[in-house]
Amino acid sequence: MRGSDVDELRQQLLTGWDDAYVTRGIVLLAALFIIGMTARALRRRRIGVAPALIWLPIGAALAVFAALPEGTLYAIIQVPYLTRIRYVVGGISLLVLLVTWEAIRQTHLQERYALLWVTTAIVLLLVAIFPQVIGFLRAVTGTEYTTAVIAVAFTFLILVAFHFSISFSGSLSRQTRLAQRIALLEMRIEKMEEDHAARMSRRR
Amino acid sequence: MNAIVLIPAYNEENNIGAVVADVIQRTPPYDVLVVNDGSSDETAARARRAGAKVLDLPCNLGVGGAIQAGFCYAVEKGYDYAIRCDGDGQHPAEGIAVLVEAMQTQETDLVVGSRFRANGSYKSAGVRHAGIFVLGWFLSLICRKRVTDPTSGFQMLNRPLMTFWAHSYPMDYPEPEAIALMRRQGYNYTEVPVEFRERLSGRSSIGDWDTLYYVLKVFLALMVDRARPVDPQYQRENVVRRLCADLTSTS
Repeated sequence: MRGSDVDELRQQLLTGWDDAYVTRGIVLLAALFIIGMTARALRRRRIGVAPALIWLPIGAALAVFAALPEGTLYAIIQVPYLTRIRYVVGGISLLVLLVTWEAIRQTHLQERYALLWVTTAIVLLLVAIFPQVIGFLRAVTGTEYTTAVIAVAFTFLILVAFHFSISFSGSLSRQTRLAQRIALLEMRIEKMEEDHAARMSRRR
Repeated sequence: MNAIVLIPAYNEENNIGAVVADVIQRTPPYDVLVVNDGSSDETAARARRAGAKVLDLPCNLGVGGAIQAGFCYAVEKGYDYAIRCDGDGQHPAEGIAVLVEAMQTQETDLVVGSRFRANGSYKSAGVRHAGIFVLGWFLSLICRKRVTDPTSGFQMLNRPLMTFWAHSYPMDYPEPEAIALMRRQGYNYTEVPVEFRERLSGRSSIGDWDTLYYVLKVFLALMVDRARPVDPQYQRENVVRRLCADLTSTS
């Protein structure tokens, strides 16, 4: 796919964007709403920096989109398909890196769990900066750049999910042993308290 | 005989009192320990009132985790035998004598009460019966010894096996997997016919879909267990040797 169908569709949608005040107004309002709510929640410390880092760019992107005149949008469309995809992938990977970083800093996400996320983000970033990195996978499977990127990202996400399954099983069995130990110790304490009380009353 | 009766119970307030009273009345003075698996009802209080000791788990662990806590207790307190029965009244207290007799007369580590060896017609739902039958067949194949009732929770075990199971025991739907595990570590088992009763009240926790999950899960577990190495520390001969050494050092 060369992306010409997509671009044709976008051009149709964008024609008359300069005059579509209602649509642009709604988009702008939504953007301001998102930014406002996030800022408020952030100020009242309802949410951490990590979710704010997701919501604020979304709001900002919507606002920019509403404000952009038709000519600029056309200019964006003129940029080659591959370049645009690379920008998007790069943006996503930077976002993942930022969120992971903030999560480690703020919520004490343990580094060993963050490691796979960071690797995912770095691999995506590499693929965005150097598209030829993924050339081998494309040569073997014969897929387009985008498909190959998605395949790589998907593989890493599966790894992350599998990693979580394993560590979840581990903590589940540790939790079981802890609960058993607690119950046994509790029973022993009760017995000691009873014995103690009996001895005290006998002494009296 | 130095034995303890272990009864795992989860929200069995309607049955547990009668079950405990029945066991205390019909057996020689064995200690009775109810393992309260994080019940949200009166199970613990009623078991205590009926004369049992109660081990209160802080959260729900499932049958496997609960019964394993019971084994840990029995090992810690130095019991020679543990008898396990369910808290819903399916396992008749008269049956305990049958288990004890088999344990004393046969060379075995585990005696399992089997409802399918008994003459009586135990009624169980079609799907579940089929599931149990297939599991029993497969388990017999793995263990090279016939198992007719792989899901029976009416069991008596000696101290070496208790030591092993206190160390490792499967979590949910544990019985078939536990038998395969112990067999692999060199322990032996025997089945004896016991007539089970219908549950006193309430419904069984296992439905038709659960049966399918149960069979698949246990199949996977049984096959994976075969691929795991034997743990030499808990092999029968080594556990027995350690227990004997403890005995001679303390006496």
